[in-house]
Amino acid sequence: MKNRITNLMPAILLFLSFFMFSYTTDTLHNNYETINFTNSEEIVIPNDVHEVLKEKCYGCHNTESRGEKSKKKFNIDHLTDGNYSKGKFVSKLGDIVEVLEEKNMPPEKFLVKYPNKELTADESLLLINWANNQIKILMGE
Amino acid sequence: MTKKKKIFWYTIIGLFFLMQIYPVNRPEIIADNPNDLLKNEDVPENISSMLRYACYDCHSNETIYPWYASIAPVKWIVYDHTENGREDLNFSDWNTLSKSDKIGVLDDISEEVTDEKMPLKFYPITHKGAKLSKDDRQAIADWTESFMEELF
Repeated sequence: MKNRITNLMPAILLFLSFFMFSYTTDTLHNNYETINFTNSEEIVIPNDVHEVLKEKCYGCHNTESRGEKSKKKFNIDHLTDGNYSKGKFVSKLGDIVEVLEEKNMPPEKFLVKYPNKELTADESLLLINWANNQIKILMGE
Repeated sequence: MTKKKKIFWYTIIGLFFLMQIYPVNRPEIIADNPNDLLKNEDVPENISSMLRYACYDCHSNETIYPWYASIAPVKWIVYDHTENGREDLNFSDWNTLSKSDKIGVLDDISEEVTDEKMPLKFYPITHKGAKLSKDDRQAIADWTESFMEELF
């Protein structure tokens, strides 16, 4: 009996690690589809935008991140936990547009190690358009 | 003085004069700026004086150049910093910014000042008024945060 469990241990760990992974992505997924600032203003993060943020940005820009600088500059978790005021939100959206237009993110050094994290032209445009649009909504334009 | 020493000093002096001739553009001083932040917005007294003393030399058209700023090599550094400073943020052009850009600028100010990236480390050595305490920095950050929300 004991032997069997030890044999199964790697499989069990692998199984559990799946849960850990899906846990982090799931909480992100459930939390941040819409954010209300006032009753009339609603920030919407569509699924495709959400997917890009999750795949290409969230790895560094989250509360648990070991990169102090990256999470201080932009923490995706704060989009939904109420930590960003309306003003901060507009500022961060503006930063997104800026770093993507200047192709400063993800950092070049990081891409050397993780080339698959590079944003495609379509993904970049998707985020830029989304951010610009949300700024307009928040500014009441 | 030996002959070698003489040659050495003459070369130094010669180079110093050559440095003065090397042409560089001095960023222009413009006294009247109708779009200036402090002219258009109601900024609290303590904040506006900090901005003036700690930021305006590089981040506005109202630069006050000290006497040594016309002597090379100092002038190269001063002119370069002033030019770059105005490019990144020019308080004299405040009212030409869109509302969302203003918000972005205010957030950047808060970050740069609380992280002690600005004013540049060596600047307060020659500009006593630019020395900001922790409380001063906090006051500026608080001001930017409340001002940001007022802009909507």
